[in-house]
Amino acid sequence: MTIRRRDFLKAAVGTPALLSFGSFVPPVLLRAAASAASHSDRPTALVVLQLSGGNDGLNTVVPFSDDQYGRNRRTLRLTASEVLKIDDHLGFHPAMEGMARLLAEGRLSVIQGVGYEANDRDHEVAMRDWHTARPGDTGCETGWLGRAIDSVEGPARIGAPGVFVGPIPKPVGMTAQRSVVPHVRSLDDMTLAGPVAAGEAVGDLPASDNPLLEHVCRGAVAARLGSRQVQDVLQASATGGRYPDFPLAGQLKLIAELIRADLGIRIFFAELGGGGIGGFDNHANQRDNHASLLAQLSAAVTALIDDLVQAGLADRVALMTFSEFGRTLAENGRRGTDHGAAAPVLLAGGRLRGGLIGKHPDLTDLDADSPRPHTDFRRVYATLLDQWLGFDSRKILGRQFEPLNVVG
Amino acid sequence: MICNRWPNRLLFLPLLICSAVQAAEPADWPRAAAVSPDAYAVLDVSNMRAVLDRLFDPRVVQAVTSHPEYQRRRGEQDVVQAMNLVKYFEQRFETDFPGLLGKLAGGGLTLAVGPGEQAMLVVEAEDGGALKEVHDFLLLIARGEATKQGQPDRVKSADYRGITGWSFAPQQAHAIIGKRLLLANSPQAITAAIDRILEPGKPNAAALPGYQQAMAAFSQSAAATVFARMDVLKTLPQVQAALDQEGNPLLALLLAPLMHTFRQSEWLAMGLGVDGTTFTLNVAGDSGSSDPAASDAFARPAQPDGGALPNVNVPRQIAGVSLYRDLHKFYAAKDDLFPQRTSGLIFFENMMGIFFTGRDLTEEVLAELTPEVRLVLAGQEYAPEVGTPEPQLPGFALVFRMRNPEKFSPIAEEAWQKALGLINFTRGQQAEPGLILDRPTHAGVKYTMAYFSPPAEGDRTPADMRFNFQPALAMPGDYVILSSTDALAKDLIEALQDEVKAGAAPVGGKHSIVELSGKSLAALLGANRESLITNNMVEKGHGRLEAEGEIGMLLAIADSIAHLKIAAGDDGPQKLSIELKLDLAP
Amino acid sequence: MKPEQAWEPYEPGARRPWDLRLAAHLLRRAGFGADWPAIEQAVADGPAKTVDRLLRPPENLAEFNATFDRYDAAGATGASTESLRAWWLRRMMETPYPLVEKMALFWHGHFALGNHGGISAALMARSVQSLRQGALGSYRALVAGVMSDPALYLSLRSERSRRSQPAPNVARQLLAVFGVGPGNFDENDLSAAARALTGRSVLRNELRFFDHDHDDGAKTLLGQRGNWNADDAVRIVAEHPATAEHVVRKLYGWFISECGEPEPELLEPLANHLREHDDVGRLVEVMLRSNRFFSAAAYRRRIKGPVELAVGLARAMEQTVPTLRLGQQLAELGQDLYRPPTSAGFPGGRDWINGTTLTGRWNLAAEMLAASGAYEGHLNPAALAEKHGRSTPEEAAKLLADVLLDGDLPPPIAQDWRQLSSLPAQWPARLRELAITLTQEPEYQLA
Repeated sequence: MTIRRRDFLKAAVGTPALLSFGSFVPPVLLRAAASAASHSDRPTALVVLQLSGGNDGLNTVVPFSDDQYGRNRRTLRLTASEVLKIDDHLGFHPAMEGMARLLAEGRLSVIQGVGYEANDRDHEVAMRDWHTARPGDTGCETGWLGRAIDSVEGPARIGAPGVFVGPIPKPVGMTAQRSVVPHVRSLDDMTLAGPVAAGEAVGDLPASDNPLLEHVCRGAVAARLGSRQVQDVLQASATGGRYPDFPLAGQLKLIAELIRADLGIRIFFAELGGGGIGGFDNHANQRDNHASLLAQLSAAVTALIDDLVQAGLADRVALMTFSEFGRTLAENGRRGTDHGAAAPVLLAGGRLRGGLIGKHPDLTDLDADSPRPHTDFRRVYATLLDQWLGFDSRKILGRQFEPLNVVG
Repeated sequence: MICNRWPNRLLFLPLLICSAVQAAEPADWPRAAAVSPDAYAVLDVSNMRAVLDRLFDPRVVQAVTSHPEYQRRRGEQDVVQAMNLVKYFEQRFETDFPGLLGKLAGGGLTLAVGPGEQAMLVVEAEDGGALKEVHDFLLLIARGEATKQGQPDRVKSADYRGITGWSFAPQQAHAIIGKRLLLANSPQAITAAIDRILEPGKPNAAALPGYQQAMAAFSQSAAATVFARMDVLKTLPQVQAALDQEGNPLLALLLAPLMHTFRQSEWLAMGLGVDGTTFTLNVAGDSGSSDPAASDAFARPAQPDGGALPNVNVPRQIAGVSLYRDLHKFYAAKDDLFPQRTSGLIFFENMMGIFFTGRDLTEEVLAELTPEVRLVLAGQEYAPEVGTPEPQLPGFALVFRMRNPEKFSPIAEEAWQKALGLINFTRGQQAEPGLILDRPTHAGVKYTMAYFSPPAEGDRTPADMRFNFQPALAMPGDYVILSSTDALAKDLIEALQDEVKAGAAPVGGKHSIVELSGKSLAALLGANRESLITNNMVEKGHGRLEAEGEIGMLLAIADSIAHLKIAAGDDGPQKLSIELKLDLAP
Repeated sequence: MKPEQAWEPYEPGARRPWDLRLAAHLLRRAGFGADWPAIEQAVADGPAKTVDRLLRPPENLAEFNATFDRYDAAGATGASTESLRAWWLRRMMETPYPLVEKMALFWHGHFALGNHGGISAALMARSVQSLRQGALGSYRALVAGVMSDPALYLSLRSERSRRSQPAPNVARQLLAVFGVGPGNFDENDLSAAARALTGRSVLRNELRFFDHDHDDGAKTLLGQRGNWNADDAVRIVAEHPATAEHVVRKLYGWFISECGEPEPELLEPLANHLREHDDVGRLVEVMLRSNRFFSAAAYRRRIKGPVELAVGLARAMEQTVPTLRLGQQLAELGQDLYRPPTSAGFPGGRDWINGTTLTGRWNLAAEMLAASGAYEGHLNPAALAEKHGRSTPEEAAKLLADVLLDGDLPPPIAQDWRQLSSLPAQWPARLRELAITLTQEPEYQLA
């Protein structure tokens, strides 16, 4: 028996005779097939954005009134008149106008002083630790997001629970033991080419006792329906948000389109800074280079959030930034800064508490010239897994971390 | 591939030829008068005989017909049929293939592309009778073929203003007016062309002032000319993308001035000249000298007789690139040229910060160099105790000049030694062998080079890739030579000493000069033949024999290039010149 | 079916006749699917003779492997495995001995060396070459070989192991993956194995042993007590009875079925065979000849891995394709040869398929069968039909259905095809479309 799209839509809006599809097709796709479905019962999604190279937290969220800061930053110092003030002590880097506005709108939270005790300030090692969420465990081969993806069971599994975008190799954080984590470069990767796309049929119900055949057929329904939804989004792209013209913005636009297509993807991963060398690793001439990167970060994230707000989806999406470490308080001799420890994690999106979370690290209590972290990064992970995605963080992180009060 | 196909294209040409003269023949008109004034580009071959003579030069014919791909293709059914047809006409008109083409197209041809998907070809026969006869014959064949395939209506004809137009297939229409054949991809294009011919006052390509200027520039000297309307082409997204190299610092450094010229031009004209086995292509445009604040100002010589220096010549030279680039101006304009900070650029600045001990890259490093920058590529020979590495890479070197050698040379030396130290440290971390530093003297110049210890006995075939490198820094006089091999550094020390003696003057007005020796390139490719073949197998899915054929073809093409020289500047109407000398001796 | 009966050789009969479906099934499982001449010959020869031929190394094997080993070596520079990956795919497409490549692929997933980026390509080339050499020999020898492969220690980030600091990752891999399997060892066994392995270090891509770092004290490993060193530990684990069952269970999933877990009783005869003979080739022979193998419980009871999918398509079309690009695309579908995602090997079974990967699989097959594009139109159904003398649309369609879907031409497709205009000029394009349509049948995803 072939399911035609009309029947399928009928099924989705609840014609009892066709409700049997419920066990056959992931509910998210069923619901999505009915265009009238409300946005509020969509599953939440998390966008993880890596800032490669060790972002200078002190010049991102700037303690402009702190003498220690001013004294130590000869060429990089941002003054009270330059920063975009959050309060009397802290302000955003002047290149972050968009994010400053998001904060004012309650769509941005700044979790201060995040990091971990044993960060040895080596790019590769520290980045691996943030990805595995198991600092120092050389035996750990999977990432925290990969384990989250592996933990998805049941019909939702057929829709690929997590994907990564952009010209990067598969992040360790997205390494799963048993799931294939797709790399989406463009919507073409989610769209069927060839005769299958032209067919009206959504899928065939297997008349077989072969459970594997049934499984493939489920995948086929998800593929066909997903492809169609992506095409619908493409056709409606005129209504999409306005994104600036640089790679990160293009990647976040792609993520917004995938979210709009409602494919059941819960976890997205993107990157800014080039992944390997350079990027936020501003050992020399930091001033302009860092400003350019922060401008890209702020404008791209703001475009994404504005787009989602317009689509009525902002409450279903949270974006988290992270970097392998912060930087030293003092400038080096090359108008740059060196590897440090604590840095803020930024959360953007809907249903957040918003504003500053936790206190700014004490600049008089430094560890090898860098602010010390007071909030373990896995507390942020655990909070997002449990409270935002509704996953089981204990299973994914190996133990219970004290949650933060960030989800509204 | 072009070489494989062109005989077919030529075979196809007579098939395009058509129709009878019905109307009173209009007064004489330039072929381009049939072309829409909105065409993107117009190619005009006025001296068809000269072009045919070149194409059918016995050496060219020999090179093409002896190629295995040609041998294979000539066995294919449609090729055999077309060849039989050509043979028939050769006998009918008692001539050979070039003679036949001369009869049918010897008066010249004009090909126009655009606007949109439109294309139009105007071919002028020397022998109008032969043109008509061939058309009538082909008409019979086309009708027969259409009937055989059950579509007898496919071949159509209609009269328009006394001229008969024909269509043998969808997306194909043509008409014959006098000795001229008009061929286009729609009947509407043919009727519009007839209107333009019958009413000389109507706008047409030949009447455009730019076209007339372009023709004036080249039509005397060139065998063929191309006129391109940049004002229209620039609005096409693909062309826009090609002209927009923003974001990539290296591309910007290399191409920004040329791209700037193309962006500034309303039209470009190209003249193709043929002299023996030397082909020249000259490009002229109407862009004026731009203002000093323009984004390509870093490539604009300050004095009118300023420009890139002639290329240096060294033994086994493959290529030479000589540029006039004010690196200080270039880097100071980086916010305009590549506003996005790529991670590579940030890494580069990190490293430069270390090598130059915190000096400002723009003001304290790049400002110390003059705008004369040269790049040399040369084949290399390997010492027997090292063995031959795989792949074999050419030696390459950058040559700069310092403004204050006494002040800057110790700074450059220190930076260089730090860079080598860093390379060694990093390789050590990865348990890879490091470089050993040496300070030898050559031709009176003390310089710094570094080399890898020869491999252990029995570990030599093939030697590791690292043996392609013995990086060297030499500073004879005010020159800075940064070379990937010791041998090239030595050759350059000598060549530059000769240059100083001879007192080399810049080539006025040229900001870029590129030269290539095909023979040396072929030698390098030949040395890497096996890896090129195996790479072709996995990249294209070819069998071993096919891959050998393709690489053989590549080698043959490279080998046939005796010398290629490209020069670009923006000091007058002449923007770009390309000179290609072929050597077709087997 | 009783366990003894399950592994008895299959005899064609009225109830389960030898036909194209079973012949294609055998060629798919013992290799990567076959071209039409091989299927035709297998149908004519019957199961016994076909299995004989599949097991017997062809005469030109040494020459074939020497050529490809040379290609491997030339491409194995630095840490990039792109070239190696391309050449392995090419080897699978062209090998005269598919069974050994199929087994090398199995062992590559089983031992899962190379799971992170830094390992040198030359080391990985050597590693897979030794799996290929030992693919149908002694399992104990395979384990011993892998345990002395420096790539293992690099893969598990265990370059150093000292008396004071044993590296547990390798010990865990030995017990849980190569050996007795989870649930059959405890923390004490783990620590004993790790201590036995101390002193092994990888220096400059070579495995070395430093006596001063070795813990030569007494240890109890899987119930056996002694001053075990690394070789002892490997022997004790490899010879342990649970190891045979663990390996046989994986082989069952590879050759017979991925549907549910087989009963221990069903596996017992196979496990006993491996314990007794330690001969993978003979064990595979028992499985390939068996009633169980040719039963409905095995037919299409596996999901093709991405590599099987693409290599099978190329073999069915009797052409090679650009494998450099293919290797990259297969990596994105979850099977990056030489770089398994974790030391647990590649995903498998149902995990291969979700909406996105199936879109990718369909698009890949369509791209491979396209007349132009990245795969350059090498796969050409019309040329295939002509080669095998199929001169009518029906015959050509039948051939494609035979090589791609064991002869199942779905009725709606057959009908569409018959309505097709009989213009021979349109055939090449229409046959390509037909082949693409067939690869989009759900059954095509099953092995």
